[in-house]
Amino acid sequence: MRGMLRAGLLVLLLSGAWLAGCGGEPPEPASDEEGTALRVADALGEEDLEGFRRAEEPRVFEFPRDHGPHPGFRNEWWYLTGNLEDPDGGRHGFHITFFRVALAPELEGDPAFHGSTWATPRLWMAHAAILDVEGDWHASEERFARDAAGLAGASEPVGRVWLEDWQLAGLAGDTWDLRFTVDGRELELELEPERAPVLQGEAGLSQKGPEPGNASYYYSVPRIAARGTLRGADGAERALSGQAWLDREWSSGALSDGQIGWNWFALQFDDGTDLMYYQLRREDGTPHELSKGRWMPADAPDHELRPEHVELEPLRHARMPSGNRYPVVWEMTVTPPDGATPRHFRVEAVRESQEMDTVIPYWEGAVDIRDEEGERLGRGFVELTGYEREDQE
Amino acid sequence: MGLIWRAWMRDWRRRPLQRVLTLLGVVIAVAVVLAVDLANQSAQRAFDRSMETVAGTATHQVLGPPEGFAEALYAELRSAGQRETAPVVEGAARLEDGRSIYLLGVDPFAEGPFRGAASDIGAAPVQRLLTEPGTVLPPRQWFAEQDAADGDRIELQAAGGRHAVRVLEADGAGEDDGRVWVTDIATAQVLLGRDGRLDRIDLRLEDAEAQRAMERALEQAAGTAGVNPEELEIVESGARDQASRELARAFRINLTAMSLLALLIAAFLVYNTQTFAVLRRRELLSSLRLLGAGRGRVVAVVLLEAALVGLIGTLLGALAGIALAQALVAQVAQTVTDHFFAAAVTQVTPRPLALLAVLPVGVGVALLAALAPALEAARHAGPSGQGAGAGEARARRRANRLAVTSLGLLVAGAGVLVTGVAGLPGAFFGLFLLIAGFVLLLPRVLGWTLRGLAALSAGRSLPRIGLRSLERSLSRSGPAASALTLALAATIAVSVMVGSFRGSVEQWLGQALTSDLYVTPVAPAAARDAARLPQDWAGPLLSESGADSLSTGTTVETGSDAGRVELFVVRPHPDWLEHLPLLEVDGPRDGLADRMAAGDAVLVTEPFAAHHDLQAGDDLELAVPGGRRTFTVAGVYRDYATPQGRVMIPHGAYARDGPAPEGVGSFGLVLPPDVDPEAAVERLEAWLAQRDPAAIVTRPAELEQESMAIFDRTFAVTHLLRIITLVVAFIAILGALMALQMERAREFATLRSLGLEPRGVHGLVLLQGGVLGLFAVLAAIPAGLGMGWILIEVINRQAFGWGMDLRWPGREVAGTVAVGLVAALLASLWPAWRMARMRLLPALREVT
Repeated sequence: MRGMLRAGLLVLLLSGAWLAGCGGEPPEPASDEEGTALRVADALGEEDLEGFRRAEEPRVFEFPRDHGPHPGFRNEWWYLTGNLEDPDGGRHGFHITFFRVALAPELEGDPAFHGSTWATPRLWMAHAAILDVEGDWHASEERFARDAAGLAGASEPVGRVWLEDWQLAGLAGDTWDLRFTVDGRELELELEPERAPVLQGEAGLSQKGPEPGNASYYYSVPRIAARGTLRGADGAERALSGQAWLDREWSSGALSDGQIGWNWFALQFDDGTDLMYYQLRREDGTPHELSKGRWMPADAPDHELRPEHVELEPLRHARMPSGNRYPVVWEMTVTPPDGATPRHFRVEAVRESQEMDTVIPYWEGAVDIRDEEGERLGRGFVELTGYEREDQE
Repeated sequence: MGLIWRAWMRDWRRRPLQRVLTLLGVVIAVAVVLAVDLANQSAQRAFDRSMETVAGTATHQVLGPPEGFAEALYAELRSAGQRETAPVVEGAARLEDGRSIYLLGVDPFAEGPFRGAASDIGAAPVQRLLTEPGTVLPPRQWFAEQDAADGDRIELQAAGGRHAVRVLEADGAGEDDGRVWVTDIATAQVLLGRDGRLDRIDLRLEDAEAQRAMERALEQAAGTAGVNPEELEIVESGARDQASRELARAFRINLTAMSLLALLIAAFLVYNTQTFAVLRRRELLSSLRLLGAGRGRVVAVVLLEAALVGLIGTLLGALAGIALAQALVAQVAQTVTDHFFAAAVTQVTPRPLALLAVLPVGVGVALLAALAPALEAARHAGPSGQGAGAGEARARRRANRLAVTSLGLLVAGAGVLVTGVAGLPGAFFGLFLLIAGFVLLLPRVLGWTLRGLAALSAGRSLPRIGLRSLERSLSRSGPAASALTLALAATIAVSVMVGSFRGSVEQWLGQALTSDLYVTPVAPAAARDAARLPQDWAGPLLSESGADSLSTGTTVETGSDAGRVELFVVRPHPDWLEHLPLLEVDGPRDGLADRMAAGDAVLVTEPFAAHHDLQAGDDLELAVPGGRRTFTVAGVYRDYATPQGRVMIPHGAYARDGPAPEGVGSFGLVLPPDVDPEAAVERLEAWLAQRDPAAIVTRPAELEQESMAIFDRTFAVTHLLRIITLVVAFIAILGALMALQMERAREFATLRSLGLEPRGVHGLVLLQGGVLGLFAVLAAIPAGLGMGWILIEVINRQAFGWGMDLRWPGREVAGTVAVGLVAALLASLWPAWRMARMRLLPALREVT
């Protein structure tokens, strides 16, 4: 879901509503919430979807094939986040996303011009961030490239997804290789999935609205062992290991009205339970009924979470250097639909300042899960969007 | 003061024509100076902007062999983390209306740090560049000019052939004006025939360390991408345009010098009028003096009047100049585009500073020119109230002093020219010193001449009277003759220069175009160098045409120890060296063919040798396939093809150590005498019609025609300025003769009362005008030829490095002589008519 919203933001970005120049000015804060919400919805809704494939019915997922690209859909993304530790116990985090967006289903115009290897109607956007809590830094970067000339792409058959020197490779095998550089620091990780892909929504078809086709194909790999090294700007290397999480989604869908942003949680409990929940926020701040999640116990069937299963309350906000204000401590109560004991816990940012320095800023950060006594229950990643306007006013 | 002023200004009502002529002279001169300045500045800005648009904010560029390099190099650099990089595919294209444009093919995703034109991915037109290849972003101004709309289809002709493209009207994307059309790199590759290749990669390197890192990354990327790293080089942005910039500057200096000439002639005009006014109002001045007016006041009044004339003339001239600039700027821009490409300008925006600057120029010149007459007026206003005779005696004494000064100026000017200090502006300064010296000498020479003529005409009283009258009024006849001489001399000089240039170019074309037929790609002139034809056409072309010899010529840009240079890679006809206009050869000329064949010698053109300070026998390191090699400059030959100059290298030598780029720029065919060229053209055209890429058969005459058309366009501005100069000179001589005749009214009245018929007066006045005109013409011929010689041997060599054979343009000189005489006679007609009809009594009453 969040990818689709992100893709929506991307479309919005591409529609020029916010962007003065790529990689240039930060977006102007919108003057009113409703306007922005309408624009998000417009951007996702009014696009001509003629010619794109749609997610209309359940499909058979097959891995590793489905780790690869799904041409014909308008958007597709690969979303990796993770919590890492160095041998001295120092906390690190990373986040990298590859978005593929088709501006049109096919090349248009005179076929005489379609011969160049640079010709493509598709582009890639990628965001990446690296966090070092003890080192007190968080760096992020945003890139764009066309889906051509070897600059960016997803290989077919499945294997590699890349944008220039950022790449996720080995997707056809049992271990994957992730490598990217942010602000002179290079992170190189070997990723080994420890849990089979979990299909989101209904057997992987995640309905976004009442009409058919207004849906996406969506799966997650919620537990991935990660090992590797972080090379600092000075060349010093540090070994890191921890847990990562992959989200995958592709669609040509539209977005419903009335949402201004979302709070997304990917939580990995130490007891092996994984939990995903995204809360869509309405203009009045209340959760939207399309908010959803998944309860994924270690050794029991997983279940969809709906707004009635989750209570979520921000406890503390923090202002970022950009001036935007985000909640950084949450109180969460989950009543699992399978009858398991309800869980009551806090989600706390391991560092307040984890905002992405991207054209449309958002908060994407490593968190700890703690009980009321402060005892750690697990770790996770949180994504918060749609806060830049309301809090600047 | 008020009284003097009123008395003084009454003259305006009495003799309006004379004053209006003076004013007109200032107006025209100021208009020309301002127009040339505005046109130059506009062309300069457009040139700079085009260069900036094309180069963007890149500090360096990766350049490769002329045919470009594999595009994979860019992806490899990006994958190596070199992100301050942007790929470019660029080249010239021609619109349906024949205008040339510059296509800039970019990747919008890489543009952000470099150029603004297509970097906004949020803009709908930029997205459409991607989703619909075959779309281009013309400058917004083009839409207004062409009355075109977003989405229109137009035809473009470029190195990749003829294509229909769709134009997108971009809000916030593309250029505002100029001739740079932005498009996506995919479209540019197709339009420019650059499939799989890039022309350059723009870089931003902050420091030497970044440059070293880039060099390492480039070498590695070249290895992976299969590009020979020796063929790549990192050059500083701007280094590439340096030659073009300097040449464009030289061109502008030439124009400015021409415009200053017009100003100089206007100064004569003001001087002339004011002197006349002072002389004619001697009595008034004396009376005023008696009434107690101080000398200072008289000087002030004369100067104030001149300042007013200057001010009004400048203001009117500024208005006229802005209008004239609109006409000039298109010419200037076309010239810059013809020769240096990429510059484009269609509109003049008057700069407040230029307008302000011309004010002191106009008023200052008027004041300076009026200074001498003002001082003379002060003298006249002396209590003794000396007569005109005394004034003229002073004028003659002054002429003596001026003669000495003029000799000093002549020596100084020659010194500046011979030593060649201060480059092109210095050369012009030297030329101006010479002109000034010459002009100051003229009144003296005129005095001698008139006296001599008067002595010769002893016995015939009427001509003698006329000549003596002229001599006595040297202070007016002198400047008038000087002004006309200067204008005529300038006209002759420019004729000599342009004529010699044109003749030399024509002769060179005759020598250079040694083939009977040429087969060239269909491409606009500016892009023809980049277009290629398949090498394997050579055989079929020979057999189809029935030719017995085939040559090829390909222009490529490459690196050298003298910067980026243009190479002309040739497979010549067997007897090519016999036709080549060699100026200088290293060693015996007989062995040249062997040395060239041996593969370590090249020939350079005259401008190339001049710009890079090379002589036959010097070494030149060139980047050729397989790496850099040192060649000997075996000779220097005459070539007007490019003002930057180029290096001629045999194909064998060029491709000795590595594969030469595919394709050739053009084929040349020599037909045996028994083959009919017309029939051969028809056969070739039939054969070419079925081939791709498109090519045309051209005969040398057509190439000559096109070349000469460009040549004539280049000098069209010069001709225009020449005509304007003549107009100012005409006004000067008209004003001078009128002054002369009015002043001599009493003499004429006396003659009339002694029985001279009005027809006789008529003839006398015409005689005087004719004598002045003849003198000016005779003085102008040597002066003009001398100036022409300096223009050719000093100015042109300084500016462009081109040598040319001096030609004496007999017809132009004869024409100029006729114009000068006719102008003088025409200018005499009105005064003659006036004199013949004047009423005798008032004139006779005038007190001397």
